[in-house]
Amino acid sequence: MQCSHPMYKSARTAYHNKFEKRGNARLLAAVITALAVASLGACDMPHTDNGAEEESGALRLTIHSGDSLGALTLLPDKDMEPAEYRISGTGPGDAGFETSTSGGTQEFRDLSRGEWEIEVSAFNADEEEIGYGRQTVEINNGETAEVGITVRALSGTGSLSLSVVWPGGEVGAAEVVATLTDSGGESQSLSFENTAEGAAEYSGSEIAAGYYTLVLQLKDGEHVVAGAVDSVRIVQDGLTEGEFNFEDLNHPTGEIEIIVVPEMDDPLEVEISGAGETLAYGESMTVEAVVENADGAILVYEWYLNGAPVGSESSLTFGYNLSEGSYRLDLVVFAEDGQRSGSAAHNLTVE
Amino acid sequence: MKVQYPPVHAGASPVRRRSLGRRVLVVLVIVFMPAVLTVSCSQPIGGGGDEGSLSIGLGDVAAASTYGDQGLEPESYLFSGTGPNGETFSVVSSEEKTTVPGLKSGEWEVRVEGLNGNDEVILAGEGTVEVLPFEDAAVELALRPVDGIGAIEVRAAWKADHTLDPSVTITVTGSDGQSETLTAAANSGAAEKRIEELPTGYYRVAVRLYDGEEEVAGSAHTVRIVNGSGVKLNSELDALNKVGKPIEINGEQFTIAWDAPADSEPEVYRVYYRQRGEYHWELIEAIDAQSNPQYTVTKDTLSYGTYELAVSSVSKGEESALHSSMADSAQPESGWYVRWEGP
Repeated sequence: MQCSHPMYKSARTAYHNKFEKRGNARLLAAVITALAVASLGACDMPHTDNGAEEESGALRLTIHSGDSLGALTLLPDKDMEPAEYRISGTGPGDAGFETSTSGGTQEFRDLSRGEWEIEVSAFNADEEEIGYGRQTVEINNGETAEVGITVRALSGTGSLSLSVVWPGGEVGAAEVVATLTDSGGESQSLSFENTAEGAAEYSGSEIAAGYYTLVLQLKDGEHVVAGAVDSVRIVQDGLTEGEFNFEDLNHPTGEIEIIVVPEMDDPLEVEISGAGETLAYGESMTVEAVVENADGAILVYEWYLNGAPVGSESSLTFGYNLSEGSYRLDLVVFAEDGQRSGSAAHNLTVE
Repeated sequence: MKVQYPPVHAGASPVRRRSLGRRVLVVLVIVFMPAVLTVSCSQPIGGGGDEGSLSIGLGDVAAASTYGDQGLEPESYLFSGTGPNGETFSVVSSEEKTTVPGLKSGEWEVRVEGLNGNDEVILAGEGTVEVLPFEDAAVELALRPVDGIGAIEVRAAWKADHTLDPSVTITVTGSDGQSETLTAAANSGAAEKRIEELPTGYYRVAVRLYDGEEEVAGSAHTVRIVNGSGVKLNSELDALNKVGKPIEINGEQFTIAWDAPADSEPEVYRVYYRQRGEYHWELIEAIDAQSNPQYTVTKDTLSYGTYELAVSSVSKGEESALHSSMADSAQPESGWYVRWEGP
């Protein structure tokens, strides 16, 4: 006997941080292992129309959870733990019954012989229907029929909201790439939008209820710097949320070579041209400044004789008024902006 | 009354006398004065003629090094960077380049500092580089001198005996033309001055040595101040235009004496004088050579006045260079001249 129309509804569980559950331990719904063996209860005892006792049998009902309890991660916001099962049976003629239970074995007696359709709906504590199961059973006289009904989450669509955060600034060209793959292997891409530096979000609806595998990657350009794979459960009318916080990124690294290029405002290479070692008394000497590395700079000249300034042109004629003796001729050249300078010296004797 | 003389060279051509090494000593013996003055002439002066020599050396150049520039040669470099999410790196190297692996992709602010031996930053440069995953990038950073302050320590040196009343001034002129002149105390042929708190940059430094009121030597230099540096500038003032020591003579005559040349036997000595401040020498008299040569100046041969004196030797018809009382080898070494006013 199988449930012919299993239905899923959603429950909510948030997923926080990489692989860290946000405490939705109530989780599931899934663990509906309530075993109900039903028998006809006195209060719900079915009767024939004419009131005469007819041949009857009994029914022992067992309710199974239709969901596995695997390592669920991203779960919906709806409480998927059954708090109540509402059971109804429809038998031959107008025969029928309704009852509810929080679980356990349910046994229904004095059921009319014939074919009965048994339906079980699961409700959570908020009285939201979260599961459904149905089974047909044949009741025979004097016998107790046993039937197991698998209650499954309701089918339909739900919503999924995902957010990804990472250290802002560490990823130059951030892109979140994600796919959602159902149990049949069919995948759909999730389109994330970067909402801020270091944050991206996805929001989707009308996603068929069920379990999915979420593959999510944070990329820096072409390079994956972080990623995660998780199960996602979508339930009917439920919102499943998840947040991934990639604190430690596997940064793709690069290398830089730093080369120093000195811009030293190098001294001017100054030379004195035309200078002789001796100068006859009463004669003159003309010397010229030579600067090889001026590089177009406007130059300012200052000539010194024994430390005393004697001229400020690029050439200097001097000596006719010098006494006999020894002299040191210095030339100091400045770039007009003062950023460079240089000097040269020459010793001479007036005889 | 006579002191030792160094030899005098005889036979030297007056024109080329500087190239001849032999010397004559002149001793001045002043009658009526207890003092004996000696002149030792190692540097002959202009001779009896008025000719000199001039050699023009085209391309004969002398380039002075810039003081302080060597202070811009870092001993090490500090490479540092700040990248994505506050990531940093820091590398010290003695090389002018380095490679930094394992940097997170993204924009990096990179800085390089050149450090001197005292770990003071003398050069710096910075830039931005984009680090791409799995790629090698290169960045060239221009390194420039950093702003700061430094100091100049000027030391002037000369032969103490060549001056009588020395003093030194130091003029520091910045690239903006602003200048400051400082006086450095002279002591035993040297003067030192340290000038602090100078902003980094180029300066002209002029050193001038005075003897009394007369400027006798000097030099000028370019100095580069680097942050944290103390630039030592040595001004070696080897050749002074000496002022000389005045010898007061109140007698009617005085005697000078000199050493005979050691390597020649001159036939004649010639004694010269010139007015203080004049260029040309005038012959007083030629005298026969003698073992202890000397000559007495009287009012009959020279009128009272202020004179420098010199002597030459003549050997085989050739006259040596003149050796004067102002020569470096004279005694005293400051040089001397007579201020002869008579009794």
